[in-house]
Amino acid sequence: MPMSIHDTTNAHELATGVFADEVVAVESGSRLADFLREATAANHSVIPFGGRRSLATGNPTEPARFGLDLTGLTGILSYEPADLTLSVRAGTTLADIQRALGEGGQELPIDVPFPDVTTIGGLVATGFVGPRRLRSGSLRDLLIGCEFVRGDGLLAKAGGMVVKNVSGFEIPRFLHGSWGALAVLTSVNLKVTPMARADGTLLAAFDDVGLAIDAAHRLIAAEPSIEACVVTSDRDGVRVSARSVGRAGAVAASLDSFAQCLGSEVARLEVEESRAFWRELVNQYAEDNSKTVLALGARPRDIRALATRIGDVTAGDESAIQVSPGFGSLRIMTPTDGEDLATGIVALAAADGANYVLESASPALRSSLPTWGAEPEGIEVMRSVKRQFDPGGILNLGRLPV
Amino acid sequence: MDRQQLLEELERIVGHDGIRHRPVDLLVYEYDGSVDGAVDTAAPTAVVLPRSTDQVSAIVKLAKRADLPVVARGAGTGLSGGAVAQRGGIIVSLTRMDRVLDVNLLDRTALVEPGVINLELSDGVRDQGLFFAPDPSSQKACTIGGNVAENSGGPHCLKYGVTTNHILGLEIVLPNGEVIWTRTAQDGYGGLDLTAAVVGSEGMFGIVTKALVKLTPIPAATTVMLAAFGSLDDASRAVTSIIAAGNLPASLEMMDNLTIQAVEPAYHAGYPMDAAAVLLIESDGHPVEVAESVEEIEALCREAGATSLRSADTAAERDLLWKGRKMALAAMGRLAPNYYLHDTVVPRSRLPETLETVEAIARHHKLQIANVFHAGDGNLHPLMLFDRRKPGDVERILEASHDLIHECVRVGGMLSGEHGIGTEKRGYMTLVFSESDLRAMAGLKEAFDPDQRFNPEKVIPTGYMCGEVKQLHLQAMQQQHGIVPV
Repeated sequence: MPMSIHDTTNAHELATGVFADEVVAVESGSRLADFLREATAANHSVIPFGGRRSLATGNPTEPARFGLDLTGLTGILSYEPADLTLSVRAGTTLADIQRALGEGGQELPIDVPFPDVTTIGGLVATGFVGPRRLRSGSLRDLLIGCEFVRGDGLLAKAGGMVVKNVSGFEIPRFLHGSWGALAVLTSVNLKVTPMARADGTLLAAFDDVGLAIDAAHRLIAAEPSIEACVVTSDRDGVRVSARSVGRAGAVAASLDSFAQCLGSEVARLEVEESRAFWRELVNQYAEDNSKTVLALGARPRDIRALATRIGDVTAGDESAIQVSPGFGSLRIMTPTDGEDLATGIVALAAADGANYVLESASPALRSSLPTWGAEPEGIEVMRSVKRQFDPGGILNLGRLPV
Repeated sequence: MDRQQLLEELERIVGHDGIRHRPVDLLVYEYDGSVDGAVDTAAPTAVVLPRSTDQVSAIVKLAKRADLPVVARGAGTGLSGGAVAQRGGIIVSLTRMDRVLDVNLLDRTALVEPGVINLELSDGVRDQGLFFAPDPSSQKACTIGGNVAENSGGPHCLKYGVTTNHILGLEIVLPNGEVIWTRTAQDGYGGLDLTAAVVGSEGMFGIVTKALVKLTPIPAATTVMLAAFGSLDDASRAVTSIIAAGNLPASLEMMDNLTIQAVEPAYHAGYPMDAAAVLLIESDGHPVEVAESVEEIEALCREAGATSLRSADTAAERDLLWKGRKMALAAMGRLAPNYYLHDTVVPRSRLPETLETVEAIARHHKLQIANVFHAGDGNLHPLMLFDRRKPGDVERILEASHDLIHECVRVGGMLSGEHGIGTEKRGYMTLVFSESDLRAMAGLKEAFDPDQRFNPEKVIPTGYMCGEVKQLHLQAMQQQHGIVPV
């Protein structure tokens, strides 16, 4: 049996409002398979976790019998720079992964909040997508294989260690964003890319969010190789931040054309400054239980209207908004006491048919607001998949509406 | 339900001109693009050509009542038997659902019906500065629905990814006739990523009736280089050093001398006839980026022993260089009446030894094997040349195929990079997947399709669905093909 950990400081509250009677740790796939098989037999509920960076997102889970700590499941299983592939155990942090890849002159071209604690398994399970989705995509695009244990204890793998593969069904990508409701990842295989030689960001100021979004759309249309473009509205005012990565000459030339297209340049950030800026930006809008954070998804064509309406609701308070107009992502952060505000925003999103999820909120707000937007189509198929993968219904009860 | 009643009910759904059932009309639907001999042919009871999602849904509901299998089909260019109705039943040909319903420039998406032809979609949005990135060799004929089913690739997926990276949502008809829209897991979406599951599921989970696809902006600059080498090994080393130096070309293709012998006299693309191999390397992106990377790649090719180098910047020059590559399969008719095309994929660094293995297999089985493939992805396409009319030729290529697949798997490779498993490679799945792996895949299939209504007897070897007996299958595999699964 897995070893029990008696964490004296935080044994039961895994994250705000997320409780488990006992925390267990596993260090191997076969141990994990035994554990989940026994938990299914005994009808014990389980909340798997890695860096606990997104553990409170979504519906409040019922208190579980076990919290399953996967942070001991670490290490790189295989890394072949010449193949541009990496296989890594699920509890490995993104910082460790990027460090190892960096030694081979390579990287994962994705945004990661809090890479020092965020684990690769957690990032796959929660399907986090950051501003670089505009050009480089997300982790979903880099997944080429994985090993996992289903809720019923079946240890299996899918995909492989080749960058292109249609041998068998696409389970790795299907588990991306499944919020640990189907299976627990033990390792993932990823396609990696050569590290960008240079990195640069141009910041431009605007008078209001609507105008900034219009400018961002124009910029994205004019610049096919733009890496990321985000509109933010916060105490620094309204800004468009546009990023370019690649060879130094191309980055410098891109920033010049960004400046020309946007006008109103306020700053240019080079290499390390640029990287730090985007790290900070992503961290700022990640789950943080001292604030209320809502993530919305809408069509790019609708994002201006939605952001403007939300801007009207939040005008004059401490809220901050981050919009990726190119792919219709919007995050709003309000102070904890802004519960009426959050309720208003959720109502706007729901009226627009936009997806949304409450990433951070006080337990009181979580229980008073529906945390996910409209029920997804195909819910019966999703429930049928859940029954196949987790017949005992022990994994992450209630987190997703499946 | 008897056959006559079935035909009448189908006709009520799709109209008189939407159904085929005479034996002579069904004959063509016994095949897809795969090699006769590697894939069994089978006749459907009827073929229907619906024009709407409602019709597809009604057909599926009727099939459920009649307890008949349903096989979705696009252009029939597939190479693994995926569109052949192994157990008979109804083939739903989606070629009449071929409208582009919406193109949105802000969203960079197109909403299309499944019968839209891949290249026509790209051609239709090119004026707006966009294209649909997956570009399989069959792109002049193959459909988006077929691309979704097979998760098709193409030369440019080295940089741009395969079909799954370009599908944002799908309208599908489920095996009970229900119509749903799938989504991808993204901001605020509280559901499972059914899109990820359906793409590449070879028509076994749902029938795609609409697809919301991502369109990619056309890069500001594109250069195609042609590098010739005196040996396959030199060309392979160039591939490795280009990647190792931190370049990610849009595509990186290799053709060997046998391929050049077939292609050059036919299309005059300018490939040196005496080269042991040529690399076709495309670099795209920001003009400054492209200029610098072309310089670097050319230097690396020279270091690896390139005997000649050419580059093309204009669209006409680029198209000519690409023509030889894209028409390579068609040109094989100059060398032999038939070919059997493989699609194994190996880790890129194992390419040199794998190419040697391919040569050894050719010698051992006294076959000519031409290589034209996606070197950057490690995705081999050995073309085994043969003559179906010669006794023993089909058996020889099947034996050589068996050796090839085993050797590729031995170096960490997989069965298929982009052509799919279908029935063709279904018997080999146990080489790369354990019983547990296959049970997990079968579980996903059963969640979508508990009655095994859609495209039965594909991908998952017999024995993994509920109620099947694995041992029987293994026995049959051994008797029929001499294959002993590990």
